[in-house]
Amino acid sequence: MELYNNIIIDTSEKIAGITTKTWAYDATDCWKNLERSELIMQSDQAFELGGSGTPSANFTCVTTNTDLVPQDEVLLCGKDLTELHGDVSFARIVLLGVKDIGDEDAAHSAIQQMDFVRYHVYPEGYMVRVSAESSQERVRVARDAVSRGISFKSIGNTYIKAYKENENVISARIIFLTDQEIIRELNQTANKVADITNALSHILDGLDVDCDSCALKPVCDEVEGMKEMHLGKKK
Amino acid sequence: MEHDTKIIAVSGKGGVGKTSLSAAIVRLLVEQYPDKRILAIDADPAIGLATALGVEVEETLDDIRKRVANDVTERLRDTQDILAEAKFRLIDAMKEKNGFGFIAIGRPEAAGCYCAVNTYLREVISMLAGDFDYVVIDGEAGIEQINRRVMEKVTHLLLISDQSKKGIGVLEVIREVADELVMSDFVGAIINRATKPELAPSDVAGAPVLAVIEPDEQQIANDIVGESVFTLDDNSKLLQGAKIALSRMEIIPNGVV
Repeated sequence: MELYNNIIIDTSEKIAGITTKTWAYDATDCWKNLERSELIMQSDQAFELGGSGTPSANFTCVTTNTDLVPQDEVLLCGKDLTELHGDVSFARIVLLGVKDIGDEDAAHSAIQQMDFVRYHVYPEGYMVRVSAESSQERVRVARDAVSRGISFKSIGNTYIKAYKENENVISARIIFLTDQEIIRELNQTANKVADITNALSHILDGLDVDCDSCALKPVCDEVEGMKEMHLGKKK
Repeated sequence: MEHDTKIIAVSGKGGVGKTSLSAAIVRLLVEQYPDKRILAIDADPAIGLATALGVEVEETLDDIRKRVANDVTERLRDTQDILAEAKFRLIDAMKEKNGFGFIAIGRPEAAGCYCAVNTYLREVISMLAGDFDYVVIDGEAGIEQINRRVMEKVTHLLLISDQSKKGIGVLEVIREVADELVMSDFVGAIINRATKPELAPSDVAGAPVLAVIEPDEQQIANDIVGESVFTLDDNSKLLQGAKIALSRMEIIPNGVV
């Protein structure tokens, strides 16, 4: 699965110059993960990542080329949670190195399952809200969690642990960005990732549509391997 | 539900003071339980509860319904995406003020089928309500609207009427529908704006009358100028009557009255 490779390469290049901290994955340093989502009221929050109309972005890319995601790690571009004092722009990007799943339908299903992990991680004092429609992720961080030293390192470890429960995941890189100019641009990247996944869904649905009138044609034209996959399915 | 949430739905004929009573209940709960989480849901299309509580509404559940319905075939292909989207929008739409959260349901859906979206939204409201200790729903006359659009089940159904035969007749219909839908654990009634309190019955529609409230001049003046219930004196008839009803429902301690 290499449909997202160009986006992974492009994103990695973009953040290379602004990465402030990198931590290797440490399964023993995860923030407490709750069984269900908790509600953090505004009156209890220290700040909201992506709140007050600031840009936010969230996307997940998978690749079978594990050279692009060589190890499990957490990256931070910007200030950490205990250094923030108000609502800031925010992005969380997930890059996953995965096994070669082979069959396209199985691969598509696996991608979806990996993408859905974002809905099922509930760190204590860290209320995540995700909008697939707008490719945004907003997080209310509780005052109590900040006073207990919550950090992107431990939150990232919690996410990696959740991704690695999927047997197809070989390596995971979680990238957090706070208060960065690039976040607005990353929201556009997130839209592109969603378009690729949508186009993949259309192709795998097996609908014999006229490419010239298909709204997703630009995605097929741009993404390497997509057109070949489509033609293969149409035969 | 995580908090053993008490969900109080207020229902009755239009114009009998449901909204003022709902607002009074919210204020009393906020004052009695400052450390508890309280959610007010305005299920009346007129969105009068917002004014009564001094809240400015920017987005209603109806707005969210339309937006999510439009996107269901594009980005929101999976149930998990739709539920997450509904939660994302609902929390944005929830206002917080004076120690309570507030959500407006808005107008009923227009032409088109919104059954699936309604189901998702109701699921999300139920999940959200589970994070609160008390939920107060100001409903329109049709209890089936609450059941379909807001919450399948409530713990306390509060029937409101004036002393008119017509108002009490409406309560009987509401009670029948509520019983059919198995909607509540407890049903009680309040006779509001009672001009002849001595003639008030002890039960209506098979439910005990918890309080009889005479017309409240302070509340009438508040309504005229659009002031919230939080500006009423503690001893106003509306607040005193609501206190008695909450006490009899064991929502607030007996000694408070």
